[in-house]
Amino acid sequence: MANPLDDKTIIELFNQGGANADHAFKAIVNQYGEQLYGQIRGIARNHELTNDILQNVLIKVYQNLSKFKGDSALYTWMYRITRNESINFLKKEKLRTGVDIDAPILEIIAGHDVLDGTTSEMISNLLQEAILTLPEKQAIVFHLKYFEEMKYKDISQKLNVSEGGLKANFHHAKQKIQEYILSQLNQ
Amino acid sequence: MKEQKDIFNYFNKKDSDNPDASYFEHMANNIIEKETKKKTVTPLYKKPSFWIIAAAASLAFILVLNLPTSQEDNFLVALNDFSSNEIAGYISQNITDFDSDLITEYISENDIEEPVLAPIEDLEIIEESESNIRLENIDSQEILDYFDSEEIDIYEEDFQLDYDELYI
Repeated sequence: MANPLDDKTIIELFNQGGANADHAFKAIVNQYGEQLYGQIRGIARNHELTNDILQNVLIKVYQNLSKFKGDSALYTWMYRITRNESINFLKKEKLRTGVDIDAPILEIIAGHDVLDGTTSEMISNLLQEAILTLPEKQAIVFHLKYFEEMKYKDISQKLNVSEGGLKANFHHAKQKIQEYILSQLNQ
Repeated sequence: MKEQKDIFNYFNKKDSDNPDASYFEHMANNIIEKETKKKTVTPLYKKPSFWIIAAAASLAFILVLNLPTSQEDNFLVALNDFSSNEIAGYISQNITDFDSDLITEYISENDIEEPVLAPIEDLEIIEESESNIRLENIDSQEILDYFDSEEIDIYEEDFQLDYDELYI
């Protein structure tokens, strides 16, 4: 695998057009594709839908990258596109085909009295709902740390954020998710 | 105070079968190919030939709008170029088999003059005169002279004198 390119280099290469733009785009997909796939898969729950959404996301990235001003990290910008695209795509797909997206992404371990009466599908849905209520930065950090199991150091490089800030964000994200799930189950 | 259990310790993530590197590479190549094709297809309105053809079509359209649309219109437009006297003169000199039906085809209903009826006052005068010119007041010779002048043969079989018709 080639050395990863930083955000600035990717954008510069892309704006040069031609073969350089192709190279930049391939670098994006190579460096971020798997994480974007995981983010979508958590919401869409099956490969076919995830594939369609990811394709739409990457087309939008390709079409709009020249307008990206670099106010945030490239991944943050793509995370936002991915989240919006996933939600909108699934809304339309549910209306169109009534697609069922309740394949679980979590397994329950016995021992927590509140979780005992729930199913894996239910808790998976609640987790995704809870993530959608989080502020964007917390949601990104939670996704990369919890689902992608990335190290704080790598996340820090990816998002241009200090490790301390990431730890704080992850802690708050977990707390809010827990509160959301418990409040929903206790209703 | 009872410590709240960390909920995250009571569920595990399920491993999803993430695709391998070739899947992402293939997807990137597909998108680049599609988007490059889109860029090379110049929209029609950006082509100079489109504007030339559009201008020519507009000009042709305007010309067509300004031309008479049928043979009938041509005939009527041509007739308007001549005075009524000229037309009447031409007809009397050149057209011997004058077909009034043919002419009426080209005269619209609005152009046909209403017959001028006698004013009511005049009709009253006629009525008044009826009583004065009754048959018994006319001399027989005058009646015979009238038939003569009108070439009416009173001896024809189907001739029946109707006195009421003899009002003048």
